Order: sequence, then structure tokens, then C-alpha cells
Amino acid sequence: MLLGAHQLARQRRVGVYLAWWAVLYAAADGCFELLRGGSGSFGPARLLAGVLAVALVVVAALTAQRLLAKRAATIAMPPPMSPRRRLLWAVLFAAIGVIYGATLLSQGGPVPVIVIIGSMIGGMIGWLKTTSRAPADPAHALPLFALMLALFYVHVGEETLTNFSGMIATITGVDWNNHDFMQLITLSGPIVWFFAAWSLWMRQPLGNFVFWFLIVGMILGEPTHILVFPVIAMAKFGIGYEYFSGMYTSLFPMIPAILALVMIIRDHRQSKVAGPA
Amino acid sequence: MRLATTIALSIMAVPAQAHGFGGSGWLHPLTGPDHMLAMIAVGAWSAQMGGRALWTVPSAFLLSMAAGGALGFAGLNLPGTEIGIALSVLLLGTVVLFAWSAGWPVAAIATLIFGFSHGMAHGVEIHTHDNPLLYELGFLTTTAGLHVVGLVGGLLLLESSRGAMFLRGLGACTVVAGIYFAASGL
Repeated sequence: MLLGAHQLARQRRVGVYLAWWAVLYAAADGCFELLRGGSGSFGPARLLAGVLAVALVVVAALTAQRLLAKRAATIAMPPPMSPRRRLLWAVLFAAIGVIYGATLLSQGGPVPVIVIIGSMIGGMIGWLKTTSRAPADPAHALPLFALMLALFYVHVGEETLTNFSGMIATITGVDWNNHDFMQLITLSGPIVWFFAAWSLWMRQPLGNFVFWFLIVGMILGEPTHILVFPVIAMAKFGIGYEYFSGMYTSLFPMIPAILALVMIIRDHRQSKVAGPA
Repeated sequence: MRLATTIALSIMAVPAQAHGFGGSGWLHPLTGPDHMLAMIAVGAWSAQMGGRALWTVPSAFLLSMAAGGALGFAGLNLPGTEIGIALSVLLLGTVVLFAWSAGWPVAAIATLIFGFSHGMAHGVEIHTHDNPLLYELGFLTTTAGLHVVGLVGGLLLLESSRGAMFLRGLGACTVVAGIYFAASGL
């Protein structure tokens, strides 16, 4: 998918072919889900599946429209944000952080809270200092965002295969079952990442904040698989430094995260030198 | 009239149902879409009214929720709590849909009643938890967070060109959800 997107960005035929394939696949999958869900009892799970199926069809139709138009869309730079608006966004992100932190604390104990909410706080500081004033250029930011997520899900794959939630439960004492872990990482997560990608494309604060959150999380949060979790296990169980779930791939998403950080800081410095538009 | 109906139905009540929140106070408001929608709608309605409503209306909800939770823990089990919660979703969605500027005293009294229903639903579950105080603190913190999300999200939407209409559209979606919850509870 990433290679296809790369080829599409360069307007090569193989990229266009893969994009059409994705469009038809998404439309067919959405229609199939809608037809399959037409029978049986109605409930919240079916409603969610229906909404997701409709979303797939709508996104497929929009992508097809864009491919037929054979031109890239451009989003104009928004006017600078007022201090009041910046404050409101910061309060909104902080409130989301509190709610998300509460969920994590209940399900996974204090260790995931420190890693993830710490990344959110770091991301918010980064966003306030840089992209809240001049949003990241989507043409440069989105490929890195997509690459970061692709490598993150390779890492999640390792975690899933090696019982991450169970291993975290053994070191924190909080029972984080695999169902809740999967629901958070493979259902709620992608919904947020999808809207964040769209928001980043639109140069909106939400997308820019999530971009920063991922950058900090991948640089400072993911190394905990190597530096923190195994050490806690050593201290708790009196064992040596041993494998901890997700350890091998935890540093993969750090590579695009560092590139994204460099890009943001470079662009921020350039915009400061250039002065306000 | 709607307010009177809510009062009557909130008082007639049946024991509240859990939402698969694993016995955690923090998670209870989040795992029940009825709770979550009502709490966000309280914030959104406050944003639409502005002024003193920005803090009095969510505070009234939180205070009565704390009282409802404490009374639920003390053993008071009023019938009709679930239908009261469903109606709170329906009515809060309605006021957001029509951007009803009720004035902060009326809005605060209305949310006192709604908050009590939600508090009762949380309070009867406290017995399942080891630390009742932590449980109550948990659901109040999460509720406050949801109020802030609704309030600040509402203020941000109202600043954008078509935000007011979008917010009213979200109110309409909340009404639909409220009808669904009410129909399920009857």
C-alpha cells in the first residue's frame, strides 16, 4: 500500500492501478458488508459495522472522483490562529488526554498511562510551540505520517503475536485482556488515525496535534519496550534481561518519526525567519 | 412540558443497567453511549448559551451526579433510572438541535435532574468496587472531561463559519440516539 501511494504521488501508472484496485476493493467490501448486515437483529455492533461500511463506500467514491479528475487537490494555508482559539484547542486536547488516560489506567494500569499520556503532553507542547502557529505542509507531513503508522502496525503485529497485553498485565498487575487491547489498537486507533490524516491534509489543529503525538510517542514511548518493560520484569521477577513483547520492531516507527521531527523544526525555523505572512 | 415529563419519568425508575465497564468508575461514562452523549451534549448546550452557563450548567450536572451516586451507594434505588437517562439524551439533543437559549438558571436546574439520573445509574454499581470513593471520583473526573470536550468543541465549532449548523446537526444525531435508547428501555 505504501509503495502504491509512493508511486501514485509520483503519478506513475502502477500507482494509479493500485489506487483503482483499492477503490474497487473498498467499494465492494463496503457493499458486501451492507448486504450481509441487512438480516438479523439490530444492535450497536451492527450499527457500527453499517456506519463503517457506508464510510468505505463513500471514501471509495470520493477517491474514484479524484482519480477521474486526474489532478491533485491543494489546500490553502489557513489564517494564523488567535491565542484564544489556540487555548481552546489545547484545553480540548487536555480533556481528551484525561479521558483517554482514565481508560488506559483502568484497562492497562499506570505504565501505559505514563508512556501514552506522556507522549500526548509532549506532543501538545510541540504542537503549541510549532505547528499551532504554522500547520505542517501536508505534502511532506502525510507520507511520513502514513509511513509512521505502517511501521507502527508492523510493531502492533509483533505485539499481538506475542501476547503484549498479557505480558503488560504480568508486570503491572492489572488484567488487560486481549479483546480490550485489540479493540483499542485495531478499532478505535485506526478511526482516530484516519480522521487525523484527513485533518492533517486540511492543515487543521487536530491533525497537527495527532502528528506531534505520534512523533513523540514513537521517539520516546516505543523505546520503553527495550528500556523500561524488560527492566521492570527484571526487578519484579528477579530474572535476566529477556525478550518483552514488541521489542524487536519497537524502533521501526522511530525512523519516520525522527524525519518528521526534523522536517517540522526546519519548517518552523524557516517560517520564523520569513516572519508572519 | 418536556422538563416535567423528564422529572416524572426519572422518579419512576428501574435499576440501572451496567454497560460492560469492568467495574471501573473511570470507564462507566465512556462505555455507555447514553452517558457519553448526554455529558457531551451538556457541554455543547452550555457553549451555545455562553456566559455564566459555561460553568454553571456542567457544574450543576456534576454536583447532582455526585449526589445521585452517593444516594445510589447508600441503597436508594429509584425505578426508571434507565429511561430517565434515555430521556436526558433525547432532551439534551433537542435543546442542542434548536440551540435553545433557556438562560443559565433553567438550564442548570434541568441538568440537575439529568445529572441525578446518571449519578444513580453509576451509584448502584459502586458496591461492585473495592474503593467507593475512588470509583465516584473516577466517574466524576471522566464526566467532567466529557463536559469539557462538549463545551470546548462547541465553542470552537461556533467560531467557524458553518459551525453553528454543524453543532445543531450533532444535536439531531443525539436526538436519534435518544429515541433509540428510550425505545430500547421501554
